[in-house]
Amino acid sequence: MVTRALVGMAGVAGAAAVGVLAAAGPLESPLQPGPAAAPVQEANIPYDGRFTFVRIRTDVSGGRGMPRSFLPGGRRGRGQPPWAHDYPRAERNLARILTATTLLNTYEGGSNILTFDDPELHSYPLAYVSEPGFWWMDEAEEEGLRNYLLKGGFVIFDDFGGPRDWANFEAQMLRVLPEGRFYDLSDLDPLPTVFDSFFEISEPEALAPPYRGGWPEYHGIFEDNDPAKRLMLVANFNNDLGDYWEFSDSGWLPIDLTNEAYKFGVNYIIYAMTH
Amino acid sequence: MLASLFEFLFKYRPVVFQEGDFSLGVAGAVATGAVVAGLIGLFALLTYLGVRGKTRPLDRLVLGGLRFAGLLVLSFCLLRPALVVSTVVPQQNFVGVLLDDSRSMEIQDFDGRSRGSFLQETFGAPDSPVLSALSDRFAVRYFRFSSRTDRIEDFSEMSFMGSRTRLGPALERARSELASVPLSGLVLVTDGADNSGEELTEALMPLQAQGIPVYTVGVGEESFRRDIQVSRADPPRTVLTGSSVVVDVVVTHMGYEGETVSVIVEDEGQIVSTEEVELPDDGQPVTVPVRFTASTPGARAYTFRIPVAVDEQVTQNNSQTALVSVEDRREKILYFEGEPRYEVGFLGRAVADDDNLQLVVLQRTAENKFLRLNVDDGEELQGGFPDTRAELYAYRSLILGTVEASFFTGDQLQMIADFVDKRGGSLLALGGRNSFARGGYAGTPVADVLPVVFSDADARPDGYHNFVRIEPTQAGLGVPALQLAGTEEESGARWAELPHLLTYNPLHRIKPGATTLLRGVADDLPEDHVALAFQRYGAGKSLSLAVQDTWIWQMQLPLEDETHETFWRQMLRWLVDGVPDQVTGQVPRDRAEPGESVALTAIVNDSSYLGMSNSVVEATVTTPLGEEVELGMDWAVDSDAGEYEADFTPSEEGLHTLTVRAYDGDDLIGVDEAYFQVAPQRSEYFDAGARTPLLERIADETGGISYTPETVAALPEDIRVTGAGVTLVEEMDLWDMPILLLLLLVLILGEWGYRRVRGLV
Repeated sequence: MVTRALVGMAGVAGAAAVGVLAAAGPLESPLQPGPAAAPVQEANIPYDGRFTFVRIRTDVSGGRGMPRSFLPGGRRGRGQPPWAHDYPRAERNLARILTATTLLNTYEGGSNILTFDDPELHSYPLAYVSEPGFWWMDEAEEEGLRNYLLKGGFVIFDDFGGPRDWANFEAQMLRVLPEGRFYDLSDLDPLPTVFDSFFEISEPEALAPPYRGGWPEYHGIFEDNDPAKRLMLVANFNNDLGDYWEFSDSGWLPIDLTNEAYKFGVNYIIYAMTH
Repeated sequence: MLASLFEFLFKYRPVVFQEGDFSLGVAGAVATGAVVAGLIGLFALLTYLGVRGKTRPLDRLVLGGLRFAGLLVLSFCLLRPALVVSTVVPQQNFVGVLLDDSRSMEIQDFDGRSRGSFLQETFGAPDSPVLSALSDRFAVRYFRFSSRTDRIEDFSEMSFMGSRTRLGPALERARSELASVPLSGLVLVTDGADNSGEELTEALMPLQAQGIPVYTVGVGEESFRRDIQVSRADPPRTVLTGSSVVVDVVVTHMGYEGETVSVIVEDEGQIVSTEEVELPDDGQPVTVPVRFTASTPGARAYTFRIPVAVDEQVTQNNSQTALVSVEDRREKILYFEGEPRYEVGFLGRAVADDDNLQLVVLQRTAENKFLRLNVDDGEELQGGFPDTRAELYAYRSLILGTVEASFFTGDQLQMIADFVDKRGGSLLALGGRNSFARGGYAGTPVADVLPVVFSDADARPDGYHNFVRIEPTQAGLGVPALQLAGTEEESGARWAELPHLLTYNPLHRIKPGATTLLRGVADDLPEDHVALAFQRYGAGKSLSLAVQDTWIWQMQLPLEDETHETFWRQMLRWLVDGVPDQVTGQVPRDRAEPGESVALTAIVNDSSYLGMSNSVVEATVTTPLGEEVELGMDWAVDSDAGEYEADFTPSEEGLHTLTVRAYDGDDLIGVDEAYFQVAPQRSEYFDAGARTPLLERIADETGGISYTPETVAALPEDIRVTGAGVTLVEEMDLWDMPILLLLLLVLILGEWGYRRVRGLV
């Protein structure tokens, strides 16, 4: 049984998110594109006991090369490969929010970038995958992800939507967990504790995606396909929390929605820490 | 041999000379004798001085000396020397003969026959010289003793079936029974293998005060030539179902040096573990750690045995049986973590499938914001960390994550200390950036409880962290919670393979009485860290695990590896092991014989674990046949508060269950069960070698004499001379001692021989 006690926690900490970020100093302009297909990757830091956000570098080509829309001048990703979208500002902003709202000992400098077959990944039980609609794995990555999830790792899949993206994502995940079953988390009653681990998110689907139409869906696979057990991954289908996090200090997106997006991020991380 | 020679030469046994006073039978004999001897000597000297011829002065001196000595011996005899001895009056005194009736008298180490056969031949046969001599001089009363002492009229009442040897009560019983008659002494015939655990001094003091000597007759070999013994095997009295148990089995032997034997563990007859051991030098004990899993709930009789070897003299001491209550219940542990970190989730997962552990997590996620996991209801821990003893004491163990000491109130810190000290709970403090000295715990009551010593260096604010390899110490290798494989060697090898862990807490010293179980080692560290330390504190125990992230083991080892789960499951089971409930039923000696009184106790505490002396405590003993015997338990006035006791004498063999219920008025405080086994005991066969030093001590301290089967013939005469009771003074002549005649002959022949050699004849 999971319950949550809110003792004297006044309001939603996320409401202060924008203020926190403003106080943290200027960030890079979102309009400034990174180098095509090769974002500036800061050096990974060695594990030192702090929570360090891990972004997974994925292959999107499936062996067929980069989709044109991701190439420099394309309509998606500002010339960055899909896995790097919103890097590094999204994770930096999220790290600052974590420090401001929780007692988590957080590395705020950005994230480590690793692949699913990198042994180093197993020092970081939470990982983030952007644009899994174009994601493709080789066998080593497939085995690496499977082990990661079954040992206790938690993966957030973000920034994808549409039938084609889902079909690819589902196909890849079923390679990893052939026995896995996706649950629509919003449809579960009661809602899974991942929506209640820090902030109470009573209507997950209420957060509209920043630029897509429609409403988001949150899918996940539980250990032993049992919703009473640990959630191993969450897929923010038809949503892009990374975008909210990245642009939270820009004024481009509504503050309320940004706050909601941060709630998801904080909840996911606290959930991964405690379950 | 020497005693016989002495008696031949001096006519009497040494004891007569010890007890008697020397006297001369002639009035004024001493002065007269001196004058006569002087005159004779002078005459002899003058005689030789007058002699001339071939003699030299030296010859005259030697011959004069020899003659003078001979005359002195004759003079001594003429003075009628004697010993004045106080001897008991025949047939007016009593002697109590106490015969060992315990099972150890069946051991066949008396010239290839049983010890009991010596008793039968010496004190049971009508034609026994010792018995006849005793009967001629004394009125003899016989007792048999083992766990109890009884008067017997005839040796046929001996059975050699007694379950224990209790020398003290036997002496006391015989003394008190013969207190109204003139008692010359008590004869204690035994192997001396007292296994009562009772102090002998109290029984000897009244004997000393009344001057009653105890004559001991020891029978049996002090150590066997060929024997293997399982000397000790003490498993925990209670364990949780599925717990790994490591029991140190102590094996001793004689005559099997270098041979390899198997230590077998049986659960109700079914083999659950086997460990081989090479036996060391004769007489050297060897400790064999045997591992098994207590998988079947209920009261289980575990037997630790070594198969009987070739030519063993005593086969009954090759096994020990112990009762273990394997409890299938759910123990609550509170894990309070001060900041979100992966240790919470992974620890929870590691023990999630353990039905006997309920890990209640209170996770502080933000200032004054808590996440509760695995609580029983919405009210549990609603206010955060418990602020009353009753609330905290509901848990059996407390895991303290990384949380600064200033989070707690002073009373809460004291409460945590009392949780260990008074309640008997266990505390496990985890490492982290706000743990130990870094968390500001120095000088707090919690620091007093912990097994480690903080130093200024531990409180480094510079974000110190280091990776360390975790190595078990020798003590750690023997702790069940740290067993990662089936054998100690495999477990040690497994530890060496584990990924390194991170630590924020450079702890280096432990408190006196604490034990380091795991070390943190790194090549670039000048000094090893104390990774895991343990100590008993008050009624409970405390541990410190000064690492940040054991979850690394789970994530970095192969998927199928169970090290992380095994470590935490065993660690948490160790934490809750032995933690008392409010009401605890106990049977201090869980094995007894039919007819032997069994002490039953109950400990009753209130919710703050203060002993309650005004509760109503009921005990029910359920016998093997299902009969329920109700007993009222009385507050033990001379014991700690909250202790109640009762006695029960079983008549059936088999497993008995004690159920204790305690009430505060009409309110039930708690119920607990304990077990005891009623069966014939084999303790008589353990450490069953004759204990001659003990028997000599008894004799020495009471003025008696100790004998062996070879010397026991002198017993009746010795009692006559040394015994107490109605006595008379007897004069024993010494003039006819063979030694005097021999001396005289030697002197005369010496003189003659000297003359021959010197040509003076």
